Amino acid sequence: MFESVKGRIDALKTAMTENKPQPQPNEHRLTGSLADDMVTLRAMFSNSSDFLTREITITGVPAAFLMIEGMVNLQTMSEMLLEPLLSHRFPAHAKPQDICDYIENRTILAADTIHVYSCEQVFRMIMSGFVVLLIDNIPYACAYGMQGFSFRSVGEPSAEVNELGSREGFTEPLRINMSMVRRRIKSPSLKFDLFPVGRVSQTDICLIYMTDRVSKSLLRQLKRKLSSISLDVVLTSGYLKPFLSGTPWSLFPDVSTTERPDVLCAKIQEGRVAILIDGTPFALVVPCLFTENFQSLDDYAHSAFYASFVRIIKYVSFFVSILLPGIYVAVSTFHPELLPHALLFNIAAAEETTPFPIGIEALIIHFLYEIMREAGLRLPRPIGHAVSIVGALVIGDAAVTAGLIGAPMVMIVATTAIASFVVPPLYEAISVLRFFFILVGMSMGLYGIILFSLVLFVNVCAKTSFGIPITAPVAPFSLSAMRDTFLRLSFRTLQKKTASIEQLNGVATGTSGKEDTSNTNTDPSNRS
Amino acid sequence: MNANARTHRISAPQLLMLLFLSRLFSVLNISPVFGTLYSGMTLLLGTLLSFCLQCAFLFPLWLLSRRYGGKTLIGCAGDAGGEWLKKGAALLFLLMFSVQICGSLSAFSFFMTSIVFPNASSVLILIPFFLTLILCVRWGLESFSRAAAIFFWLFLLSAASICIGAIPSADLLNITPLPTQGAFHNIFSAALGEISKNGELYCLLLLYPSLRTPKKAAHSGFWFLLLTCVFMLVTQTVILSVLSDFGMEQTYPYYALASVVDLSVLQRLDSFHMSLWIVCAFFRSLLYLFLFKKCLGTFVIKKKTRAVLFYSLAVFLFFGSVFLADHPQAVRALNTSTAIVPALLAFVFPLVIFILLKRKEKRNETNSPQKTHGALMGADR
Repeated sequence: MFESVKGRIDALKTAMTENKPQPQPNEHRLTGSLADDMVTLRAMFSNSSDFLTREITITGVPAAFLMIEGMVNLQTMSEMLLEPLLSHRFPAHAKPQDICDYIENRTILAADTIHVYSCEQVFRMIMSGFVVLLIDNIPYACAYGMQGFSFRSVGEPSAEVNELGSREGFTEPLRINMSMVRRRIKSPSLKFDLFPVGRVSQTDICLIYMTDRVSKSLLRQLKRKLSSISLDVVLTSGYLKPFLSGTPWSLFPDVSTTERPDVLCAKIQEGRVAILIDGTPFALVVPCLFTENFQSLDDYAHSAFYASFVRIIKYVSFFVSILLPGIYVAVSTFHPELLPHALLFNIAAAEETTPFPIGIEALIIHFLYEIMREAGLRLPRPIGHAVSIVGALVIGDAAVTAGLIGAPMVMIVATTAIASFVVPPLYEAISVLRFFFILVGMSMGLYGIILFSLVLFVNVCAKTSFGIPITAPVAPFSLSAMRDTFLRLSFRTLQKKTASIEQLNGVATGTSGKEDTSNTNTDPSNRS
Repeated sequence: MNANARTHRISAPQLLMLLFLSRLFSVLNISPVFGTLYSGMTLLLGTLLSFCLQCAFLFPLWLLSRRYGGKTLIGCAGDAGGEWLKKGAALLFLLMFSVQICGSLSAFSFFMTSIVFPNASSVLILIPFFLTLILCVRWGLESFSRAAAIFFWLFLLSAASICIGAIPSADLLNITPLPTQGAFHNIFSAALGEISKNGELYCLLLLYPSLRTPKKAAHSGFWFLLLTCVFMLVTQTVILSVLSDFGMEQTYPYYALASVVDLSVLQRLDSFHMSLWIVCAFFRSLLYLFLFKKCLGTFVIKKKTRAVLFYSLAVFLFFGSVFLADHPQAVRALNTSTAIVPALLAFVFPLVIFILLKRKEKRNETNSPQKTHGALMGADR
């Protein structure tokens, strides 16, 4: 009995120690001498203009507040920190430790109070918007979370618009994003792991996962990959993506991105791990399956039959957007016998007046379309609209009237362009693949298209995201996961058992939280 | 078996679909010599009989996979007769796979240069195809098995489209009945002809350790044979009932059927057939090239040397295919001379190896009772 209580106390002590940032061996420990520590810290900040210090005396004991201008809420600081400290009547000749005890035990100066023991930790705390109090003859500093920097308020996500979902999207500060997730999953198994990335920027990133759903091997792999990053700065989620991706030259993503807290919650509930990065509203989620690109939150707000219909539309649009121009070029150049005569005559009549071969025409017009899209994307909205109008008039009307391109080709490009917007996460892949398919279609006809499709399929099938083949649940096949893949079945069926991502690797038996022999396809020696 | 050994494995349905696509390459091409010899009904009954005979060929696979599930036939040969037998077996398979690759590619090239791109150079057709194969072999068995599992359904869809499109023109009376004399002999010959084309039977002996449940390899083999048999019966019935004996005289009867069928807005479905043909040729060549590489691993352990040797031999295979594509008589001679090989490699050789293993085990048990067959088992795949 006594042993068990003692064990618990030890465990609590260990936990408390773990929560306190311990100085690393190569860091400068705080000496306890205010003057010396201030010299070291000022040198660290290189006397930067925004580094503010306020030196005060509390009952004869010298102390100093350190902060960064613009990152601290000054009103909160004066109300909760300065006023109580300066107005409290300490006994005459109070020792520095008494002041510390008073702050720690008899006031609630700040909800977020951390003891730090080295100059580097003080630096990091100040940079994160903390106010640090140094007291002479105390060999540690107290950091108070009083962040007060301005940030964009929570608004509707611009890149992931939903019809019937929540209007909340992630914003830039990490803590606010964390709170948005916590508000949606009130479970003790939801865990946040915070750590810095970037040698210079020391950007805070946060791993979010459900302890009872996530695979330990996935977590281990992810942490290993993150700790191997030696970038100087991490400014957006795009900086981390290549380090998490298995194959850097792959066309299809194996790390998904979301701007929506509800989508993130749904994904971590399936055993995935999300990564929030301070300063960016886009969270990364791993592992990412190919079929995820065709799912959206609205699928679960609509009725099952409509959601399934929309899914099918998305899959068809994807294939139309990458294959249609290539097949059109291949069929009209090499296999005209496939087309009905009436359609063939119309195409022939339209193409008779144009100066370019049909393949070159397709390449030029798609290239022009990509230029206009890129131009309209980053311009101010009114100018962007003007670019679209000019583009539509030039390509859609003037070019056809001038006999530069055929009307069927304009229709093909327009259909392809619209279809490519149906699956936004795959837009990059679609744009590039379209050109490849046109090239192989114009040089080898349907033979080239089929051959290229085969290579593409085998390549996609070879790709794994943290041990899970991205083609799951189609190959390897999982009947339970197919309930929400090409079709979205009713919630009565879906609620029976939530499929965990871990079960889709074709090897693991799906025991969450246990070690599994993940199906990593990275070692070529094992393949032959 | 360590943790890593559990990875890089394929499921039984994936293997089944891969073998099915590979096998259909030879099914879609019914030899004209075949057609002129037999009547329609003989061909159908021959297909049924070949299925029954091929099921018997699964017996050695069943024995080996149940007892030595972790080892390929080559590994078992090593255990049974030492390093020389292992290398001999690997060389035998290596040669057979070379013949199969060259044969498949030349048949594919012959089809493309005679039907799709008349008078085109076989080199130009084969270069992109071969480069594709080399690239895909690098991604491993798992990747192309998964791809085969996806393409299998697309294949069935395309094949069903052609068959459905052909149904309005079908008449079962077009299937010529059995001849009055020598019917059984003809049926038996047709069945043996089918077996001689089935190289996938001996591929199974090298692939079963890659299954997640190697002990069920024979089940997969049975379902593969059944599925192929059903597909062959359906397509042959449709071809014979639409084209009758004219179909049998065609070099590519399935293509002839596809080119007369129209479905909805599509005037002809021969492009569908071409797609099916390319898919089947791709998976067949890829499977054989993968196994070729695997057999090469028996001789060369060093990764770099093995890769260099593989690419060098691949160049030879390419030129061999180009040569055979331009010399159909050589292909025919090669097919005739290797007709017996599937039976030898899939039935006789594994059975001999099994008997040798059993004898060795018995001898070991007599010499030292504690050394059982378990000591022979390993994870050589």
